[in-house]
Amino acid sequence: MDEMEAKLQELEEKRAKARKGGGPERIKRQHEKGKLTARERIDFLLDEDSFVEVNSFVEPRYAEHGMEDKEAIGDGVVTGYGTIEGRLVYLFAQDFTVMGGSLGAEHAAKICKVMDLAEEMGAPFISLYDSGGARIQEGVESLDGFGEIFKRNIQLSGVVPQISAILGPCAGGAVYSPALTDLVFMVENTSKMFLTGPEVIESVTGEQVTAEELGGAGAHGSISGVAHITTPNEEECLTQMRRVLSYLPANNMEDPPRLEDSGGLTKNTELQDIVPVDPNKGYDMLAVIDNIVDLDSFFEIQANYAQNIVVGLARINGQSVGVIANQPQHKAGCLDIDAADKAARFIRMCDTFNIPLLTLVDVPGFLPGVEQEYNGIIRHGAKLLYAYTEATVPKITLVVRKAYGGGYIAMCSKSLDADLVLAWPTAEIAVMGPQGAAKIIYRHELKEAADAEELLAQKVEEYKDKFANPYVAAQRGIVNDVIKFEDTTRRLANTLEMLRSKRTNLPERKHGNMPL
Amino acid sequence: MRKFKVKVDNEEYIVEVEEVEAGESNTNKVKSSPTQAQAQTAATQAESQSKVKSKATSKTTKSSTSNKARGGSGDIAAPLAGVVKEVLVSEGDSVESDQVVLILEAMKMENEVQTNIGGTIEAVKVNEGDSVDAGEVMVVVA
Repeated sequence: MDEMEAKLQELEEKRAKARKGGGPERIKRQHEKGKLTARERIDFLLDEDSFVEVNSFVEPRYAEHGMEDKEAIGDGVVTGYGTIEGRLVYLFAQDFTVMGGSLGAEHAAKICKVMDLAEEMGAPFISLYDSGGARIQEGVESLDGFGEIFKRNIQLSGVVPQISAILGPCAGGAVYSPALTDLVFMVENTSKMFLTGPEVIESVTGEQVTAEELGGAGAHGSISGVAHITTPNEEECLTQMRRVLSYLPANNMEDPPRLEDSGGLTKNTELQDIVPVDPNKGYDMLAVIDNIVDLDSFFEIQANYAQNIVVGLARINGQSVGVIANQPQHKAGCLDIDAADKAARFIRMCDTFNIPLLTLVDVPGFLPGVEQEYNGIIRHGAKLLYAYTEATVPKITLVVRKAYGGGYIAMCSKSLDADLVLAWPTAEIAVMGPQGAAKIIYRHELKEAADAEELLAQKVEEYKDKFANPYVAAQRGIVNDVIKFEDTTRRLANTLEMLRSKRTNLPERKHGNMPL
Repeated sequence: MRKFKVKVDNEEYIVEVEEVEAGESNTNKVKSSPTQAQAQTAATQAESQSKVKSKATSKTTKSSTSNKARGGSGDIAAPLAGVVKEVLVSEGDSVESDQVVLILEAMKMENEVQTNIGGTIEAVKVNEGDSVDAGEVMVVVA
């Protein structure tokens, strides 16, 4: 064999070794847990044969503390780039079969390398976590590695979309990396995410809880709000990650991709049957959204968390929009702490990536209660107002039905800088509901009346006639137009088109002081 | 340590609540969660261990108050404080998952309260016109 051939063979052997990760035994164990390997995940996520690995020959920086004989080519993480629907993305996938995917100094350096490339090239960054945590043998250097990753997550924030999936354990300080990204995906029974695990919790506070109860997809998808999307299995998770990217631009300097063929704009024939005229009756806001946006285009985010508000990405006439809508079917659609947080975060993500906002309003107000006040509904609710006003993307508001009091203002009212406020004929824009208003305005008359109940009923009717409609607001220009149900999508598409060239000039500042 | 009066099934309990961590206010959750209140009543007898339990239950309670909560609890709790407008089932009725069992008037709305599991109505704990607190169990499905 000549020298050249030997060199080529050496390369082939090294490459083959790197590709097999932790070896067949560990791969088998990974599969038995219902999990794919790091490379299988990448293959599933990216366009076929598009993946190009970077730094595959990297090995652990240290061979001490029992690591002398351990082989760990790649250092427990696969990094590189590829395409999704032909668009460039950078990514890493932690390899649980190599030293439990633990994060050592080189492991962190590999991740930082692709993050730097993503920032410079302005392409989305995808993180697939599956790791036992910091590599204890590498001590403070692995902690430093975490810090380097967090810093980059923050620097990339608002520059390129960052999308994370928790595909195994992600515990301790490691959780802050996904927490700093735009969207966190979790898989039922596979993902485990917590700052301190069940053992530590039990030893410190005595609380007994399983890992799944504490940090599974259910807990973070419906209680903590940490997860944005939860799926029953990994394949579905990776498929949804591909899908969500289709709504987002590659970076903050670009507009979201526009689909040319959206199937045309038809009349909304069903809307007026979905929304009950009686303001006390519930209905499913999701049905309203589905009827307005392009067929099957609604991608709901945090579907099981703070269900009294619905947020998600969609398309109208092929153009990406972020939809924020009160859900009368849950807690009467009122605004509370979790709803305000959920909506504010979503609005800021849309604004960052140049996605116009469509707000559908049917809100009875903020949720009253001692718990809400003690837990800070004032400062949490303030985030919603802040996020709406701060956003410079096109903002369209459609008043569906109730728009009462502070809740009305918070839902992207004209005064919070909506570009155009439309209303359906069912809209009621008022300081409060007719009952409450009549009781306060006519409290003296009611006290003295012979038949207070009858007088109240009469005054409620008067108030309804006078104020519970969209025309009082329309007379003052607070609502810009009252539209027919059937024209809704066409009007929204037209308005989006009209607002496309929106530019705002704001005074220079470092950043505002958003209530957190 | 703070004291709360908690009503479970119209029986009043005095519960003592201790804040476990600074900044974390469990106190109000107690008020809105009868299951937790029971755990806390036990807590007054067997102090520290039950602190744990109550915290865990408060989580399950929170998720079961939302209509579409997973896990399928048979306790149907009020999602909001309000007035029972209409009870649509009686004890012994069989119900299907997602069936509306009760109309709760709250926040100017007639809220349809659904069961998230199918089964038989074991108990109806409220009457039309009753005021309920958020988290109060109104109907039990078994």
